[in-house]
Amino acid sequence: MKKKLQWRHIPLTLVAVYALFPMYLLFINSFKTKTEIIKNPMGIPSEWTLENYVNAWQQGSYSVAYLNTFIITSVTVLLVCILSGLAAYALSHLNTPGKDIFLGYLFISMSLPVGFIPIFFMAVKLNLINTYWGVIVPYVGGGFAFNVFLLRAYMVGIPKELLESARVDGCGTLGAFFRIILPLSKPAFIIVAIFCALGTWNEFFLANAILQIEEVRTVSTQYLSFTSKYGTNWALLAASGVITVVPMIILFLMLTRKFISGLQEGGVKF
Amino acid sequence: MAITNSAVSSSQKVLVQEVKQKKKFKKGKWIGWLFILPGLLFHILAVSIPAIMSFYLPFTEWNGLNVPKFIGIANFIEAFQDSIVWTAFLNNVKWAIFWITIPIILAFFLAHLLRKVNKGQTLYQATYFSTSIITVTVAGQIWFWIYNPFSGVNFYLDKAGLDFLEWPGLTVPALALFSVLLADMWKGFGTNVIWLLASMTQMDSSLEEAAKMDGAGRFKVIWHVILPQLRPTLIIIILLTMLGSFGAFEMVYVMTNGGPAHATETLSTYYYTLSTTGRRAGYASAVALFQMFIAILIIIIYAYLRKKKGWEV
Repeated sequence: MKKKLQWRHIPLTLVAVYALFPMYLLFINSFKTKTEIIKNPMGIPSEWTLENYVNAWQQGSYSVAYLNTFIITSVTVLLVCILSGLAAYALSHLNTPGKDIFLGYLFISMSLPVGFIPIFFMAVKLNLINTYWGVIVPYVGGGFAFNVFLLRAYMVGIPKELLESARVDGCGTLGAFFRIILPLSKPAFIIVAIFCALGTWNEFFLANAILQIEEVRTVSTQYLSFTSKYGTNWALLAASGVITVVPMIILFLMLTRKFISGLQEGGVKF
Repeated sequence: MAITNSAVSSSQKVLVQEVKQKKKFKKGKWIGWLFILPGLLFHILAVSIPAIMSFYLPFTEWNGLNVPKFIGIANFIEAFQDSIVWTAFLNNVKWAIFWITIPIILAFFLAHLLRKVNKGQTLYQATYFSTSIITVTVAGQIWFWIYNPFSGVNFYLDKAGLDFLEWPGLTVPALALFSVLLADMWKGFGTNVIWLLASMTQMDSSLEEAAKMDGAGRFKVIWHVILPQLRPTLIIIILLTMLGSFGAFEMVYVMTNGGPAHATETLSTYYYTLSTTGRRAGYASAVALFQMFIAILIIIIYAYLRKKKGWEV
């Protein structure tokens, strides 16, 4: 039995190496000098240097890009949690008239592809190009249906009696949301928040079209313009690549179990 | 007598309370929409209006700035004669064929192996999913570099005298799409492993035991016992993979931008470039509508099969 368990680890580890090796490459090369990479593209650096990071941070104006991405990500996450949460509450615990039709409409809207061209030119017409709202609105609106379904599925499990007793205690409809629903469905909200943060931080499709100038660009789009500018300087590109992904890596390492369980639940729910 | 009296009065009380509650409920009812409305506003701006416009814009000539001019089906006629549209469509088909075979089969076997691993199961899952955390622009750049003829893998192949194995990757049109697909698979294979494993842990293990007792071999057990139980999950994975494949964009745009010579163009990259830099929003919308049409077709086929075969999902 013991022997049987061990051979499994060989293919599993091989695939783990396949997954981690490109990340190792990125990480290790960010500490090499430009000339060393040409001679030694995959090994450990003979001399560790932080110079690439300093240069990448300045030349890529990453302080601006970081601030932009942090603002866009946090506003999106906050709005998604509040707006989808309130809607899910109305669709699970308040006897909202027409809620079944509305849920059906949301379900259908979920299977439509992103209407990129209309969104882009609406942003042009509404003067939202190169503004944070130009991307925040489609992020929040685009994920609305899915997040409502996810949160609603969780809230349905909260017993109605709890809400009744809260009302007897003098809680308003909104008060009941903040005092009962929100704390009890915290696990679902955390999953929505982390996946929303990950998606927004890495989003490229819309951000690349709508955020056209360096002053408002997010890190993922900033990195692309950086690669087209310094296409041959791999040391610099590796360092800025690490800078781009490091906040999400930290989030993932801190909340690994949440990420995995969130995906598992999503899979089983379907 | 006294008992019935009190019973009546208490039931009356209940009735009065119920009426009161109903009134309160009615008031509470419409409040629900107040909670839905703010989010719905975002949804309408980002999904509903664009969806409606997606059906109108393909029939117009529009540079994105002036007023769209109605020109009938001229855009569609042009699109059908546009060889790039067909190249892009074929690339999407190839993308779908690749994704519903190799990465899903790989994910299945990984999940199957992981099922019996107790120690480190989460660690393996986290490792496989971790590639999805990497921003696509960075992931694309890493693979771009691995494929680089003067560095990365090819550097070592050269050194080892195995230069006939060299993978010129992105520069040769015939290999470019496959090279992009390999990078895309690296980035996205982990989610399927987690989904399949989650569904495997819910399987009825007694069936498997029984089949083994009857002397069924390893592959027979997989084919006749495990796969049928995974069918709901597999169907959903295949459906989502198909929809995703026909919308394939990011990895292509980042690595090749559709080149060389449109060899890796997909419908999404084509309409993206047409509308943002080409300023042909009307024609681009026609291409986008074609893509949307495929997505709807896939969903209709799925719904039809579901009804015909009596699938539960």
